[in-house]
Amino acid sequence: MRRKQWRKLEEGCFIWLMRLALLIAVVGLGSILFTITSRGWAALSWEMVSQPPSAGFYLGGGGGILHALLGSLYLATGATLLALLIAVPVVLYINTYGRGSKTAEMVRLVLNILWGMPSIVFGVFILGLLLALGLRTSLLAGTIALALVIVPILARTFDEVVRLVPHELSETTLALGTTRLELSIMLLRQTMPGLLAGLFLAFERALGDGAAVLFTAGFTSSMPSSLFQPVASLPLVIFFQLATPFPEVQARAYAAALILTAIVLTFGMLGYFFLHHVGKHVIR
Amino acid sequence: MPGIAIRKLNIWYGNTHALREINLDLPDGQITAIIGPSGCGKSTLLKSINRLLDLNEHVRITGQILIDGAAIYGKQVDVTEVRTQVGMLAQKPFPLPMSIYDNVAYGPRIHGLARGRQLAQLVTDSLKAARLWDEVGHRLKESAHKLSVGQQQRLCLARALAIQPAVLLCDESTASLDPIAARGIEELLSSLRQRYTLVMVTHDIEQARRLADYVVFMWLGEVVEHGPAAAFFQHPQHSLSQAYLAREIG
Amino acid sequence: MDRQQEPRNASQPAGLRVDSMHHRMRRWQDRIGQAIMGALAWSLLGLLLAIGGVLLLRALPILERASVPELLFSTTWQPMRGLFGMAPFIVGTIAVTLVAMLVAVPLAILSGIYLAEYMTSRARLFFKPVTDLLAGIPPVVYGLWGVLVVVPFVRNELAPWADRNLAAYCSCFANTNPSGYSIAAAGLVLSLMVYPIIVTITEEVLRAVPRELREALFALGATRWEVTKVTLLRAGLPGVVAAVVLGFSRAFGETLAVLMVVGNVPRMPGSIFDGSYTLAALIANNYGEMMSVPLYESALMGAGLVLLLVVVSFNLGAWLFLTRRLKRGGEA
Repeated sequence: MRRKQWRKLEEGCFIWLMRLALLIAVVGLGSILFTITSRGWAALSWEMVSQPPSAGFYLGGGGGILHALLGSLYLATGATLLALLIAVPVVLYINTYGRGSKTAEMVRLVLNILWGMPSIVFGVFILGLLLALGLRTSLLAGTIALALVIVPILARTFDEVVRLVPHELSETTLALGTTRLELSIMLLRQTMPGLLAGLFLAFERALGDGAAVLFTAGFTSSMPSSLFQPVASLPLVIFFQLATPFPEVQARAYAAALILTAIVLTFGMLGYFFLHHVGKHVIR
Repeated sequence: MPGIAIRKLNIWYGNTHALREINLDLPDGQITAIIGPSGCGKSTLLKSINRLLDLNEHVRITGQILIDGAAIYGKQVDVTEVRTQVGMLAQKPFPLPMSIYDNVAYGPRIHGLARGRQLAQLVTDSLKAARLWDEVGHRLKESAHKLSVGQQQRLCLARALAIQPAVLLCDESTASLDPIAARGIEELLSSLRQRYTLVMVTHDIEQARRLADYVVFMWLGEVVEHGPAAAFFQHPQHSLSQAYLAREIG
Repeated sequence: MDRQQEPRNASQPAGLRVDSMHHRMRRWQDRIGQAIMGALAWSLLGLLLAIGGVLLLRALPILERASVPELLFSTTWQPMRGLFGMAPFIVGTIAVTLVAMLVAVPLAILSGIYLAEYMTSRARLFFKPVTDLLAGIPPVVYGLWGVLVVVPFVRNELAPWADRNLAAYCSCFANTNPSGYSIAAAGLVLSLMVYPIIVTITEEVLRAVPRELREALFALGATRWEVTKVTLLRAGLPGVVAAVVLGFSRAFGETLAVLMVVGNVPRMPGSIFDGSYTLAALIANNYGEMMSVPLYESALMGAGLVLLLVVVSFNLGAWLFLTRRLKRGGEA
């Protein structure tokens, strides 16, 4: 009987520990959201999101962060499209042509490694290439660096979704005499909502990542103009504004952080929505 | 001329010898039932006829299967063509993630069998052959997953028929259906016997008795006895067959 | 297939034969698709090798000047004098990562278990977004929060408390730094960043455990906690290992958030309340000025190479461990 009480006690202790752990996370999240909102709200103005910076912006001058807002959207959109072009064929390949092969195993391992790779490493890699080729930082280079960061995210999310497809779908499709290319397309049809969700997740990550664009997209106070010019981005605008000693500039960093967080979380929720609610013909 | 000739077929899953030295001639234009207790290799044998076993990673196949005299295993053989000749109805209905119409039209479309009005006609004919037309003819654009399980299975049949196969394989195709839907599928299959070489796997002896023209009885990966259904059911030769029919084993 | 096509079924409509031109085209499409998709798949390995190659090439000048042990173990970082000892950064990175993992792993695993096993689906609807939101917040925002909340907390509460109560046992808890920008602050910020990754994977792993296994254990009269212990430690271990490896990689190379709160002091730390510096922060902080100092760029590329090698070897190690386990017949 004492043994039984001990077991109950053990479980009870751990349940309370678990609740405590969850509570800490909730408090952490609440603290972040509260801090960003309370500090950022005051400095938020229409001017901030509608205008590029004017002269002396980092010394407390007027203007806004429209350049970085647009820059981030360009960077993240380009990177997501680029990553899509790489990740989708690769994932379909390891689930059709290369299913169960050594190649597939290798690709998944490489994807895992790339997934854990710090984004700054992708940044310095592209920087190294730029230096070797004698090129400057640019929107294009930043887009490529970000694409490398999110290829593994997109590929892994998509791979999970494709692997959840019941094997009967492959079987029935192949039994109709399809080639494996046609099977790939069928798998794509079935997994479209999952792919969309992965895209939003990748986009969200690309928007928020500052380390990969630090050396590759460069930094500027002008609006994005060409693929081959440097471009500003929201994370770096926040970072550099915080680094100034002027309170009014720092306050703008808080507002920019609020804007970035709001955009990123909106796309996160869209991804969640797509994963669970879209797809007319999809087998559930 | 035999419909399907199986010659010295051996199949291993890893180190397990799943099928041993199968030699069979399955008659053209009839229903062949493969029966036997579960795990005897019935489904393996069936899936070797449209090379669906190739999907498994650790499977090794020796021997040969000839459909109308043409070998289906070999380097020169195009698997997709084999599978075009050999239709399949799975155990559980599994509609493709598209509309009812597209489910049936998918096969003809990729194979370039028909397009436009001809395709629509082919879809209609196939749905009628599967006795589904009256129920879905007015809502072809709807998702196939809204159909009942029995309807889905008939849709899968229509999908298989639409690519004009010569052989139709049925893998326990009534096992996941309710008795009424199952009886419907049975009648359908029976009506198709003149036009296709039909091979079905079943664990239901009564179903085999009702449908089959030819019976193959398997036991632990080997063919114990095979022959015309009437003869097999009335005078089983092998003691294992007798015991199985008397439901003493399996 | 070289066999004669004879009309077999009288009922088969004429004109519905497989069109051989069409068939050949499909076969070509299939082959071209295979070639392109396969090439892309292999290009990922190429990318990994290219990253290593480029970093190595750019780091060569410094590797020619100084030996590898000297670079890794020397504590003198004085670029102006041509001394590039990376030990302070390596130790700083390890210390920050260690603090983060020590805080995050237990919290995350406990939370993951609670989410998967104990919570009603209604309550989960409320708590699931917590991890999703935490995962979505950008690093720079974490950094900002760190500056505004965590650093003052460490300075005013945690460090004095640890100094009073723990420093007597280990000098690594001594309150040595009045600013609060420290290993502890960076570790705490990172732990919250890593937390959602591990929670999500732990929860998935527990949900993937077959119901039969769970029911069999309940049938033996096990408590829910005992069932969890078995399923998580037996069936779920590979997933948890993968989660921890991923969290480790994230923490090890996180740049902006750490940079903002760690203090950026290139010195060997003696206490978790010391200011420190990480490899990623080193790279990020100095990219602007690096051109002027000889070999500086090469040294930073070398730091990138160290990050890459650590992450690759950690992942390979985990992979080897897991495949070995599978071959031994352990549960997948």
